[in-house]
Amino acid sequence: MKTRIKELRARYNLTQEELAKKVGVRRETIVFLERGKYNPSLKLARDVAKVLETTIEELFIFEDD
Amino acid sequence: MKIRNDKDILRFSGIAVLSILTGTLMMNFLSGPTYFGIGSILILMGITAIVIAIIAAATPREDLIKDERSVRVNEKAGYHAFVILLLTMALLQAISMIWRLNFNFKAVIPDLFIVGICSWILLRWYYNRRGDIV
Repeated sequence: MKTRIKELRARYNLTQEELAKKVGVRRETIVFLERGKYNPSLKLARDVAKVLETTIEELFIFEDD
Repeated sequence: MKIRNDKDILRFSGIAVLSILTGTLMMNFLSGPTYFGIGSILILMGITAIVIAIIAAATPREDLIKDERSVRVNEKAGYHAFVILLLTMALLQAISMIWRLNFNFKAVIPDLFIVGICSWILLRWYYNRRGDIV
């Protein structure tokens, strides 16, 4: 799984810590999410997408898509 | 390193200092081995609480947030630590049956407890580091 979190975060000038605070998780969670090493819950995926003003489909890219 | 001094930390430190003070007063002004024992336990508890408060104060607040990832890490580590505990007990039982040892399980309960706690702590650290918790 690949994500566009880092790219969109940079677009909105947000640090990992700021994004983490906005969605109510630890910074580590954002780090693992960006690396595609963590499979988030639907709620967290939606929250991140909401903060970055995008959709879940655009945020997460699956290799088999 | 940033040390936090919020209300929770100060309250906990206050309880710790109070415990040490009570223990010291008890040991100095009340006679008898019982009071000496209770006093020393109170002092020990106070010192432990101060150490915990210092560790907690040095940890950033966001590291203490219980988000879904940390909950999953805790659950997975707990489950695997429990499996390790059961396997250790099964292994001990098997060894005692094969070599016909007169094994007393009651005597090894503290060791099993340590095995369980250590596995949980190590697994938690490992899963937290690895990241790919599903």
